[in-house]
Order: sequence, then C-alpha cells, then structure tokens
Amino acid sequence: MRPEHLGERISALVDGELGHQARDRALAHVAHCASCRAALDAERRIKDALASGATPAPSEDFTRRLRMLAEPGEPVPPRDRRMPFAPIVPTLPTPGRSRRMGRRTAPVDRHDSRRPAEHRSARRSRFAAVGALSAVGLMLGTAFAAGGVPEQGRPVLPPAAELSVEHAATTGGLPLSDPAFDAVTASFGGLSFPPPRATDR
Amino acid sequence: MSAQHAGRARIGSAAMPALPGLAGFAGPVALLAVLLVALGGSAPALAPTAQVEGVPSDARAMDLLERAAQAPASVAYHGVQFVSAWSEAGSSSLVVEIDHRPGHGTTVRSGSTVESPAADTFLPADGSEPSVLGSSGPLDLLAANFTVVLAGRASVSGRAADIVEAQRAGSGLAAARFWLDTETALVLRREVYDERGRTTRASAFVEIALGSTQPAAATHLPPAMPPAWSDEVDYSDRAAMSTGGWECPDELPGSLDLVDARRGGEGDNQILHLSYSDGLATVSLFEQRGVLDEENLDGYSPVERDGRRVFVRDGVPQRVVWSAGGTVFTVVADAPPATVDAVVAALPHDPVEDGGWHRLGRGLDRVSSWFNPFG
Repeated sequence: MRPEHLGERISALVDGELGHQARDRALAHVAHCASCRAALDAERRIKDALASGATPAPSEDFTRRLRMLAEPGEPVPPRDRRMPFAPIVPTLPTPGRSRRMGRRTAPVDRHDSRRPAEHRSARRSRFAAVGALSAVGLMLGTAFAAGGVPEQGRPVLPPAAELSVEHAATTGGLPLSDPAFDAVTASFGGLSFPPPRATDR
Repeated sequence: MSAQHAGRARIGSAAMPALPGLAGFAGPVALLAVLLVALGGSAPALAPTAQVEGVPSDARAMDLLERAAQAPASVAYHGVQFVSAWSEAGSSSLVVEIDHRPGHGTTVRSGSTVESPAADTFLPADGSEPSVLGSSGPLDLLAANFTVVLAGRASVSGRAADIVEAQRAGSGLAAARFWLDTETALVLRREVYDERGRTTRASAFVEIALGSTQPAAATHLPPAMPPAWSDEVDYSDRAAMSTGGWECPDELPGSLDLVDARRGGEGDNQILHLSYSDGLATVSLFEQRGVLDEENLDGYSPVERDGRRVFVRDGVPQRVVWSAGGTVFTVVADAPPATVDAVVAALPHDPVEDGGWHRLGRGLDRVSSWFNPFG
C-alpha cells in the first residue's frame, strides 16, 4: 500500500516537529514521492528565505495568474451616476475589471497571442481622443470661470478737484484763455459753477 | 466789488441763460435780470453764421487777435463779468468780479449761489505756458484750424469794440467770436459755438474800467491757483511711456493737437496729463494705472453709448471718466459736447456687453497671461 502524500506534515517535517518514527516514515515517503519532495523543497526554501529576510520568488503558477490579471480587457462601461456639473476629466478605464473586483467584464482569451495590433492602437486612439477632449473642456471651463472674475487692479478714484485745477492751470496758458472760466474751474474743482439748468435748445 | 464801480458804462448786448442768486452784486443784477428776460435761453439764436467757406484769414483780424493775446501783459482792468455755459443738460451761469494787474495776476471773485458758496481765486501772471507748443506762435493753432475774419464793430459796456470771428473751415459756421476793445484790444466779450452754431460758452463784461484796484504789494490776496505740474514729459518720455502701455496720441478727433504733457504723483499713483487744443477748445486727458472705483465715484452719471460705458459729470468743465485695460481715463474738457464724445470714443474702452463669448475670450486672455513670463 502506497502511503498518502505528506500534506500538512511537510511543514511539521521542515519545522522538526514530527516524532522520530513519524519523521522516518515521512522521509521514506519523500524518497519515493516526487510530488512531496518538491513540496518539501519549496517549503524549505520559503523557510530559509524568511529566515534570511529575502523576498521569496513567487511560484510560476502565481506569476502566470498575475500576468493574466494585468492583460487589458474591454473598456469599462460608463458609470450610471455622475456628479452634476462635475468637470470633464480624463479617466482611464480599469483594464479588464468590472465594478466587482476580480471579475472580468469582457472575458478574452488570455492565451490568444493572435490579438490584432490595430485593436490596441484603436483603443489607444480612443483614449487619446477622450483625453484631449477632456483637456480642452477643462481649459475652456477654467477660462470661462476666470473670465467671470472682475478685472483685478488697484481701485482708483480720480482726484476730481486736483485734475480740474491742473486742467485750468495748463490751458490757462493758451492764448485768449478766459480767466473767469479758469478761475471757476480752479475754484473747488469747478464745483462752484452752478449745475446746469434745463433749457430748451 | 467796490463802490467806485458805480456809474460805469453798461453792456450793450448779451446772451444770458438763467442766472443764479447774485449776492454781493446788487449793481449789475437788475441789468442782468432785464437781459435775462429779453434774451433768456436764446443764446443759440444769437450764434452768427457767416457761411463763408475757403476764405483765408484776414491779416487785420489776426493782428487784432495778436494784440488781444498780448494785452493782459500791459493793460490793467477791473469789472463785473458774467460767464455762462450751455450743454445738453442745460445751462449754467455765474457773475464774477475780476481785477487784473499786469505782471501780478488776476483776482476772480465769484458770488455765492444757492448751490455754491462764494469763491475767490488768484491767477498768477507767471502761470505756466504749454510745453509742447515749441516754437509755434500762440495763435498758430487757431489760424491753422479756423478762418479768422473781421465781423464788424459793436459796443460792449459802452466801449467800442471790433468783432473778430473764427469760422470753421468746412462749414464756414462761426466757431467763436471775440469783441475786442478798440482802444486796448482787451477781450470784452467772447462766445464759443458748437458745430451747429449753438452757443456753448459766453462771457462778457457788464461793467469794466481800466486800472486795477489790487494793492501794489502781494498781500491779502485770495488763494492762488496752484501751478501746473512741474514734471514736463518730453517727446522721448512720451515714446517710452507709450511703449509701456500709456496712451499718448499726438492728436485727437476735432483737430485737437497735443500742446502739453506733464506727470503728477509718484509710483503707483503717477498721473499722466496730456493737454489738447484746436485753438479754441481745450481737452485734458488724464491717465492712471488701476481700475475705476465706481462705487465711490460721486457726482457722476453712468452713460452707455455705442458699446461704451463711461461716467459723465456735466458742468464747467465737462468731465468723463472710465477705465479700460487697467488704466483709468479722465477727460476734462472745455469743448462742444460732440467733440468730447468723439474724443472719448477714440480712446480705449472695454466692451460693455458681457456675453459668454466675451467672458470666454477675457478668460483665455487672463489664463494665457498666467503663463506669459513677459506679461
């Protein structure tokens, strides 16, 4: 009768937790069972690596599954809800992921090495177009918002009286200037002149 | 006015709109009231229209104007004068006492009115002269833009006067008339008209006597009008300021030529002052860096015309203020309203209509300026 595989006893064997007889039987099985021998070797390497602080190399199967996850799938369908008035920003779809983690929305043959190159190129072009349109939208939105802001600058209130006096002082030097008008202009910045009264012109 | 003015000759004719209260001028008031009844508000009808076109200036008329320009330097006088101005908003009038002594200055005393208190002003005789006129004669601008002719003789305040008329070159309509004292060439009366021949300004002596009542010493004089800003801007300065974004046109609509340029204030408060004239009208353009503080602008009315929004204050002189492109513009003008409108229209303005495209364009300009290292 061929003994059963070691299973969890491999860990105990590596850790030296088996009794004398149990250890002898386990080692005898390993000598004839390639599967358990391989598992024992892997367990020892992991233990050694942990003991030395080195990162254990992932198994080939684990690496293969990770690669499959990394391969791009179909674009994620649009979300059902959007925030009102949210700015348009470029969003990259999660490759091959549905809204539920771990589930591919559009399964593809991960082992299909005949994927057409133009398919990927077209997808990239769509991404680029969406990104460019989003960038333009973002820029125009920013410009529209910036254009609504009141013009920045130092608030200025022209000194009416000083400017009127300066006007009179300068033009008063012209020939045939009217001293009475110059004086009225200079007096309180011209404010002493009565305000206009409605006349029929 | 002193009592010695009593019994002087009275004005022969005048164009007068409604006059305000004339406290302190009891003598001329009765006469002015009569004139007001006879002529009230009818000044535009008095505007002469010679309808002479293409006629060269009369040498005798130019000689008279030259004498008139020089007369204050040698003739002392005092009297009572009315000053009136008409605009689209109405008319304004004031009566002033005036006393002039050559080499000293001119004292002008305005009577109190319901709206304004009495004011005394002293105009020093050594007032500044326009800086950009250069070697041009003082009347060259007038002769270049108008046809100057003799228009007859008349009597003003009992004194014989020659009438000299400046006519517009195109229409031949009178732009101004001067009543010049035959004996001394003093300007006894003057009227200025707009492009349609309507009176915009008038001033005339209702009483005048030769000689001055001012004391020989400069004591007890009213406050003197401050001199013009001393920092004159020459051609190279103007070129540099123009490159730096200041508006420095050599001329403005209405044949207004640049006759003076000065600077006031310092640093961020610097003010550029450009003066323009056609020989009759005068326009001052002031520029300041910043944005007009509209909320605290007192006494001005907002006006939108032809896509431009400005703030206007009628009166003497007329004032218009607005801001565009980070500069506050102030126009102070002794000119016909149409001329002022043309001047304002010729200067920069921000668009009034604020539609989506304007807002977007303004925003793009603003965003691009954020990345412009030279902006």
